[in-house]
Amino acid sequence: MTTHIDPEQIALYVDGALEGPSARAVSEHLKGCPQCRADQGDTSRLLADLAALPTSREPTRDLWPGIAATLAADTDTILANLRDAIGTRQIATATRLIDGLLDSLRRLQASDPNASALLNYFAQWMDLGFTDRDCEGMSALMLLRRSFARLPRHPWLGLRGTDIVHLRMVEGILAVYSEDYDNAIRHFSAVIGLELDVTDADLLVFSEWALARAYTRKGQYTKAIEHVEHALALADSAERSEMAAACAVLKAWLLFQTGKNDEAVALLNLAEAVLRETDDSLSLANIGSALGRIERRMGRYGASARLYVESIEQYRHCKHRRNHLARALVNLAFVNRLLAVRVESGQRDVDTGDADPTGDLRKQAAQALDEAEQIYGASRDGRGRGMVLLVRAYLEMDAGHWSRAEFAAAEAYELGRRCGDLVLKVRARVQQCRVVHTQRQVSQGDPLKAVLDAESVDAWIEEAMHLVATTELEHLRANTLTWRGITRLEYADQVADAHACCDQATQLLQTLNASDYALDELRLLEAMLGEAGPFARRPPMGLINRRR
Amino acid sequence: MRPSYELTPVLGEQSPQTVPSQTDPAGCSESRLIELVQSQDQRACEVFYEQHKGLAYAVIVRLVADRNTADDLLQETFLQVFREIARFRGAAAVDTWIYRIARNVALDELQKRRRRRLAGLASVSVESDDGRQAQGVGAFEASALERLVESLPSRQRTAVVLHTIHGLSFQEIADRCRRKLNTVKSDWSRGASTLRKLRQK
Repeated sequence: MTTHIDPEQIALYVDGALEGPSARAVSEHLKGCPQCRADQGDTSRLLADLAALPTSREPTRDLWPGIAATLAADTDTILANLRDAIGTRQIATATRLIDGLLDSLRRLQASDPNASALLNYFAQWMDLGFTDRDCEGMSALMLLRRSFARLPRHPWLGLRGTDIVHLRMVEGILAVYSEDYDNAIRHFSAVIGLELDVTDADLLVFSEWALARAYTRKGQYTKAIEHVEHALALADSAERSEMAAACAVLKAWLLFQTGKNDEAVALLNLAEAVLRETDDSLSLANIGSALGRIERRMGRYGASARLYVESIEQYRHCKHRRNHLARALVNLAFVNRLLAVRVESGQRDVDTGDADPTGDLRKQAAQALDEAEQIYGASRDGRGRGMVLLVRAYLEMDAGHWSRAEFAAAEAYELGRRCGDLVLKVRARVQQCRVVHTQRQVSQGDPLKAVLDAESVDAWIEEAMHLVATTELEHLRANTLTWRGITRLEYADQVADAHACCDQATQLLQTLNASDYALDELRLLEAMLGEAGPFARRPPMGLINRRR
Repeated sequence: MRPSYELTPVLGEQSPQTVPSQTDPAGCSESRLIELVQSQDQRACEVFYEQHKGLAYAVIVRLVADRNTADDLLQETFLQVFREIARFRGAAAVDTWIYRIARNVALDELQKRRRRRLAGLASVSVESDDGRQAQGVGAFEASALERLVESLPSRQRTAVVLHTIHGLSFQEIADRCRRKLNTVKSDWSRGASTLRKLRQK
């Protein structure tokens, strides 16, 4: 009696799911059993027919009206999509969604169920480079301020926890745009403090990142790096690679501030690879600008200028965040001026790039400053306008317009004082010392002025030293120390003090791997200290050669 | 006039602030249609639904074997699609993505039915799990074969639909349904063998 193969085994055999001895046994049996072969044929036909069934089938009725009605009532859907578009840096998608929400924003009432979430995502979108974008006849920032003013103020009694989180975020973002970083830090810290109630990873990543940015603006880099690390870890675990890339850009900047230039460049390149897949031009331009700053720090001014020119072109695409463009223009102006000095002093090296040695680097610098000034003129960016003045002071100084240079530096200080920006105040005070000292080197003037200068310079540099000590801006601290050394030596004959400043500045610049103008100025101090006596005179780099 | 700074050509990126041009969703490319859907364009959502509903419905109705339930689940599938489409990055083809959502919605429904039945709450209206007999099977054209498949018990049907009609491996089915590989193979072979017998009748 023949034992036939179980039909289920035949099915598995036909499907190719049997292996080894089982498959061989079935195969052997089939050779000699017509009945099982017939079963095999039937099964093959069945499986082929099943596989050939259509991949598409029509529903029994038209379901679209029901879906459309549900979607229309579904603001949550739109907000969820907006949140995702922001999180994945799909800028055009986010902007289209915002455009559809502008009317709701304009008519926003505290009683709207999604008011706080809507405002928060609008604020986050604006922060991606749209502060000045026209929204219903006003800038996005203005619309945000006005809509926010219609919602209840702190302490938000009776609101849901999630609404409070959203409102805190909005307050934090508004504080950043008023340059009130302490308040911004307070609000973002509160969001993070509510961690147990915040289940939305994107919100936490944004808060940590925003907190790190606020600390960075205050020059508190240790705190900044702590929060950017948290943001990165959260973005990684939430698989938000674009948010992680945005955090990496900030982290790279902070690493650069501690002299880890190679690590910073590697991180920027990684972030760029991720963000190239998005349409986030602002972040890409920020990356170019940061790379330009790093090249400048390493004394590669030609490469730095090229990177700034590239990022300026990218910033021009971001029509609604003009201050970034202005900042890159100021940076380009400064590096062009540095290149000009280098070319004139005969230091032209392989890395001066395409710079025209006879040329109009200073003219280009002045043009860039004009454009930056025009952009800042329309904004309230005190630091930005101050930086324009500081580079302007260099150009005036190079042209021998001493009073104009002094005035520009003094005005920059005044701006810093008015906006409470201590970094600008330090830079301005150092610039004032630089202008006075340089003038003294090239034109031995009236002895009475020399006495007055000595008093001013001493007060300025001491103030700068005092202020810079409260920040973690090591490069600026080194440069300030250098100028303290120069002024102590030149105006007070304090050789020991000058040596101490020189030693400290040397150590700082070594840690930072800096080979830029700060190092040139330190070399000048060293040369002065190396001269026979404390009264030895030697003009700073650049000027001595120009005047020959 | 804007000064020039020895500009080098950079990045062909589009401005993120470019205002999208008004296009008819029906005639545009798939990637453009997805962009429009991502920005909640109502007409684009409808066109997108019309283009993809058949694919989603096919897997749903085969798995749940009940047209009324399938209609509800198709709605649920597309609400989920529209809620999540901002995350869709085109890494997987859009068909694959929708198909996966539809399949998961249907499998979740089967899971719910099983739980209801285990809790003794199975409604008499929940059909087909105990092997509903196919009716009116004549020539074995596609629709007749579909009805035979629908008549299979739930687990056998799931294995046959997903493996043979929709091309998932036994391992993928085992992973998704949290069953042992051999159980899935056995469900499938029993289903295939039952279908063959039914077709011979």
